[in-house]
Amino acid sequence: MILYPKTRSDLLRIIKVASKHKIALVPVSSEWDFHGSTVTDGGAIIDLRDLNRIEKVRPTFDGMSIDIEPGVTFQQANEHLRSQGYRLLVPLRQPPQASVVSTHYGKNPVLEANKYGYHQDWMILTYQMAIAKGIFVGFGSEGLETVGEPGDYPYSPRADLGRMFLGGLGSFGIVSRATVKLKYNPPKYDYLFATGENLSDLLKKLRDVTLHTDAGQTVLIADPKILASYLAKSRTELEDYWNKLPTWTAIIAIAGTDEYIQTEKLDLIDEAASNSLKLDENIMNLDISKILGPEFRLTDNIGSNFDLAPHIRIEFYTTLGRLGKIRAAANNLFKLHKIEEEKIGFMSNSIEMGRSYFCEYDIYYDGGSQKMDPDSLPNVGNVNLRELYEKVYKTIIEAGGVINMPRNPIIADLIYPRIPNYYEMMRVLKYCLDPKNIMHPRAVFAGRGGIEPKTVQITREVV
Amino acid sequence: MTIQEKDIEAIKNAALSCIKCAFCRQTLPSLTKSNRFADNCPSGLYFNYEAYYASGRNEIARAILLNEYPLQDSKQLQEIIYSCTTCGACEVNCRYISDTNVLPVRTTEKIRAFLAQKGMGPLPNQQKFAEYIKTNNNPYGESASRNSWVKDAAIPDKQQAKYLYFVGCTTGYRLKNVALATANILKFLKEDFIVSSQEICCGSPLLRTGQLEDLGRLIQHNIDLIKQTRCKTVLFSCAGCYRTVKKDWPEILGKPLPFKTLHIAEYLAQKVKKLKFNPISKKVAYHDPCHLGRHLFPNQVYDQPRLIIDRIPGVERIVLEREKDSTLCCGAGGGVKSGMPEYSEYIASLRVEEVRAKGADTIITACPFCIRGLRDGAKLEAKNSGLKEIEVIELTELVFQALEGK
Amino acid sequence: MQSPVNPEEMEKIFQKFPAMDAKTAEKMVRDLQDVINPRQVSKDWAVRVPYSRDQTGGGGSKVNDFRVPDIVVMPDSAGDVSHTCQIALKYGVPVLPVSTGANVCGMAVPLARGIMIDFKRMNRILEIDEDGLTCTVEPYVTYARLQAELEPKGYRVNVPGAPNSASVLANCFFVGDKYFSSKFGYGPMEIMGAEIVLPNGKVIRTGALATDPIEPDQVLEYVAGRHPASQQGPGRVCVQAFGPDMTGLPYQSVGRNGIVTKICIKIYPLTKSSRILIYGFKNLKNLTRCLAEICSREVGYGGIVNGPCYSIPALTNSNVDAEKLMKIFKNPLKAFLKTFFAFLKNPTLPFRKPFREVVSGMLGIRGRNFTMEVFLFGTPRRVDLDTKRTKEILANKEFTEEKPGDGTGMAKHMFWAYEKDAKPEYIYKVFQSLGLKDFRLDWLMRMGKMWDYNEVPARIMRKAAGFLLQSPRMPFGKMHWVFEIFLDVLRKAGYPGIDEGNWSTYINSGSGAHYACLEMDIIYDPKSQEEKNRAIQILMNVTTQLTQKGIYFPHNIGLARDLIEQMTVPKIWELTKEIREAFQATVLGPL
Repeated sequence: MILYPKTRSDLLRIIKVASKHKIALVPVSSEWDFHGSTVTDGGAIIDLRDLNRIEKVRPTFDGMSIDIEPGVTFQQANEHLRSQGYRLLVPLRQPPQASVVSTHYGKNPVLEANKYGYHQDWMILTYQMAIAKGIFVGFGSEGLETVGEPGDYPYSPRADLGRMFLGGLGSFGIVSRATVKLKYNPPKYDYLFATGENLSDLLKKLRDVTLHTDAGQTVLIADPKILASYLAKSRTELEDYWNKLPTWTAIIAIAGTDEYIQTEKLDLIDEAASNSLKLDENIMNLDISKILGPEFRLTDNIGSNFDLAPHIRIEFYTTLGRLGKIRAAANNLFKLHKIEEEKIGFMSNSIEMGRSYFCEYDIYYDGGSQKMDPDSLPNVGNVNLRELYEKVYKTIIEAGGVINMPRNPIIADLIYPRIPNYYEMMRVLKYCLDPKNIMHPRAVFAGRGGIEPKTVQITREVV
Repeated sequence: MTIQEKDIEAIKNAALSCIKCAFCRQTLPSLTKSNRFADNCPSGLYFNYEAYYASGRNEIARAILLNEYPLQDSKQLQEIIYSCTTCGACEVNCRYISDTNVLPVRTTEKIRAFLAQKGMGPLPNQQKFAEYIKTNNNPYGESASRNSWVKDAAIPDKQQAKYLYFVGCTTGYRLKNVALATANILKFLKEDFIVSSQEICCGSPLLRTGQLEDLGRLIQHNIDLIKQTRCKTVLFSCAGCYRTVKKDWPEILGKPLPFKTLHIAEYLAQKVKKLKFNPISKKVAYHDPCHLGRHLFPNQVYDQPRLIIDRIPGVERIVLEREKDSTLCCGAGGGVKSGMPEYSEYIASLRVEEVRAKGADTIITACPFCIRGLRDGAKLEAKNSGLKEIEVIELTELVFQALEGK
Repeated sequence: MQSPVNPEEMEKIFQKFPAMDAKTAEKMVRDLQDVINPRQVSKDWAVRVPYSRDQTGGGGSKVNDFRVPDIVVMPDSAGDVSHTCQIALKYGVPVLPVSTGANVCGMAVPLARGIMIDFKRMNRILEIDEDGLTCTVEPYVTYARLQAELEPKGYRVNVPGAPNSASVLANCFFVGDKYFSSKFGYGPMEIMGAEIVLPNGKVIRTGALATDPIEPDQVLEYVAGRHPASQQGPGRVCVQAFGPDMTGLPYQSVGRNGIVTKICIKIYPLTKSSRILIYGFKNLKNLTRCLAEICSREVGYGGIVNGPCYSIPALTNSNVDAEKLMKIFKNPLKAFLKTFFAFLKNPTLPFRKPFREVVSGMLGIRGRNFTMEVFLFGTPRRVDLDTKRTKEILANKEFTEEKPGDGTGMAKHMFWAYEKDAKPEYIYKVFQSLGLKDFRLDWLMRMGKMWDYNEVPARIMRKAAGFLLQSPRMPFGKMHWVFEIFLDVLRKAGYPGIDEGNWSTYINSGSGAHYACLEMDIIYDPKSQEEKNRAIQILMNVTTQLTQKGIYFPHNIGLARDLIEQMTVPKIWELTKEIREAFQATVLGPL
């Protein structure tokens, strides 16, 4: 069953009925998910695409934010904002048709994380959620029930409920409206590039450079396969890039006015020189800047290029100090399962000047499309992709990689047994919000639902 | 002397004026150099509870004066009130922040006087030294006849001079070498000075422990003696005596002193250009006595001892993290050395630990009471660390040791 | 807003709890001492009394205004805290943790009595992680201590508006604003993980503290496999994990939802260059418009705003000097005459560049109600560019109708630690020539490091040492009319000297231009219960009026908190109550 609420009241009505009849609800906004987080074992899908109103844009002096419903996409929002000089930060590795709310609520990374990493987990300021009780609850200042407009302050008075429910993937409730941070639209982007044979060495130098200059919107390092997915328009072009591009390419994107760009560029080049790192305005005489430009405004190629090279994604976070160990462990696993190097892509995106890194392995397979049933995924090397998916995640977690969002029961079952007290606490919270376990039961809690808390009633004497 | 109504009002107001900024509990933020050496409240360091810090004692003082709780119901009250070394680390920070005169050291001393009046204090060993002062005019129970060492120093026996060197009980009875060194330097400089065998305790131990009864007698006796000598300036070795005479006596008397006061460190700094020194190879750290530094605000004696030390060739002066206003007390003051010796020694050992951590092998200080405290602390520190004991020398001893042509 | 709650509910917020009976206290102490060092558990009244006040002044003029805890515990570890919570739950007794007690909302006072946990023994910096750029500390580590450890390694912590004697852990979890929040965010944006003891005694570790491949949920003194105090190996990953982030549970609850025993926060590299700019404004709207632009365009690390009762006491060393400086700022002829006669003693002074810079800076902000400090950090090129960008914003008529006064010359020498060729002694010379007798050079030198070692917020309390505030959060655009309401309430309450500037404010961005705090400060004589009551009344009045106009107050004073939340954010209040009950936090933290 798929339901298409047209208004937020529809959403609430659906929830009330579902609660009454104990029907599981799985929210979906834009279907762009590589981890099966919107897959359901029965129950109903709530397709939120029609809840796509942009309700308000607040200029700088009024909080520099936008109120949107969950069906609003990046493309829709950024087109709306362009004339006012604002924008939403585009996500990393998600197409423009991705839902803004579910991208940020699902803690997906942003492209310009080198500069905006401080905001990466905080793109949503306040939000309203429809919970199993059949009411809307607003978090932070959104919860203020007064006549005036409350502003966008994320923190609720007695606990940061917003933070505690963010990342629930619909298991605590369905986000019905969110206020998202705006940024100014920079007049221009420019790029510097570095290449190298050794990933660790290149990353280390880049980290030193960006850390000491505080420069660069994005510092993204990719192997030819993933970099090609940003650049190519056809399979032929893709393969051509695979063969041409260096082993590792780093893209430093800089944005702003001409003067600003010039300042950051000079700082980067000076610092790179003292780190024996060469930064160029281009690589291999390819006019990449022209192609990359639109990607930073709206990541068009990511989505449309999936079918050129179908793959599964393994995503994790790490620090520079851990990455070597993680990659070594993952590479051993790939060798064990005889997976050829051509089948593996890798990229890393710097967060906050190299404080942490978002990393992604793409494992390519032949045939198929994005909407394949996970149980029908083919083999790669001598192992089935579904099995490999689990094994790679397990390896990464054991080597110290961090999975910020368990997007499906496979990952959830790898993480939560390691932190049983934490998980128990989450389950108590789940019970508070959704005692009947109708809100996306599979997400995060892998169908287990909440735990009823055991409380002791104690009355103290008062004066 | 007794505690007055106005004192009680002042304590209550002080407690209400405390803004709980927590600056009294550690070195000022701008003077903090590390986490390890950021604590400088001795009782707080050792006992930890809020009650043992200035901000805590303020509240207790208020509770006591408001009669909120029966005094005898507390087993820890005495320990709390008498564990303060009155070092002033809290007070100097408080003054920096606030004009409201919270002055926690004053509060502690007044509350001690209040408790003494109620028969709830001081600690037994502290009561003992008050008795000694009464009978023998010194807290050590030694013979009342003092300063016999002057014969060894061949100091001329005069009744009047330009300077009176007020030796003090600790120097006179326990650290005669310091007295000798001081006298010898004065002789070397051909200074017109005398030492009197008639001086008696300045009253500092009584003041710090709230035992005010005998104070008037001590002060009057010493003032009369000094008047008789017609000395214009009284010189001190002991920072405790110096502070008590310079600040407390005028307040108690209600009028200025009929003479000037000078600590030997200030005196030597004035004369240092006349002194030539032989080289001494030492890595020293200077420990600021609380009564010579913080207690003398706004005229703290910080630069003068350093100036003197820096003039001695071969001596490398290491700067401690907690120095000047943020010094860690030696742990001996406020009656603590006799009242709670184990805790006093522990604090002293922490100070010695800091000195060793910074690379010095000798501590120089300008107060005999600090010398005693730090020497005990050095022994404990050496025992705990298994390393060679750090030497503790008084400033005048160092100066005399290095003096060329003596 | 919902209609007022019923009188019974209203009464609850003023409820008082009697002291624990002696027998129960005795039993509890014994149970606690089974695990905790006996010297570190006390029910002695002299030990308990000091906990009855925090930075708000706590209860009334009496010491024991029913706010003295029954037992005090000084834990050494999360294990001790866990044991305390379990015992407390067994007896149904509240537990309240305190570190430095520097809380301005009466939250560090045991309003419901019970057990006070004093964290003074848990003061270790457990780890400085140079790979992930984090550090992990215990509750009693203050900002000053942490900054002192980080600086030699080339890092800094984001220093708060609170005095740096405040606890890092407590300030971050109370969603404290920091000077560089515009860039780095408020406390919560910097918290990467925590170790939390739940009311039932279970220990959880969240976020970056949970991601080590070690035995789950062990109670450890420091995380196994890591070296204390300095860490060169693999670092902690700075993202919110895992999925829903339970780090949010203790926020703003001051230990009433769970007791945090470790915090992992971000640290930042020191930059090659820095510069502090100061500008004076008469009109708050002009100022906030400019500041919104500065923060949103990511100029430097953003900026803050101070009102006169902040700036003048901050600059001076005594009330007497503060009054003098206020008068001089109002009367330039007097200032000129004073300095003229001082110059006669030192005629070369006016020819020296630093002197002229200081004087021009002072003249720049003279007569302005508000000063804005802008923090520029980065490479030298970047700092120069940001200086230019700031000036462009301030010259833009779209953002300000007045020409701001330029106090930068004074800022350069006052905050000497942030400029290479600063000469702070010239500040001293100028102030001396103006007749400020209590102004000391050594104290001036301390102030120069203010943006790393903040002492000033404590000094602004110099005037009378009583200081209460409310600090709503809102976008910059609302501040000017909100502040007018505050001044209006003060006038109507008969508060003296409003038009003469006897009020103060502090404004700080929380994250770019998205939200900021507007602090409204009332200074009173703490020796007068009447004045204190009036101050509280004024603030309650302001809070009510502004809440009705949609202004959000996330912090409310102690007892009134529950009532205000129930009235203003009823659904959040309801949900939070349910969650707190589920975790039995309502037993351990009833108020």
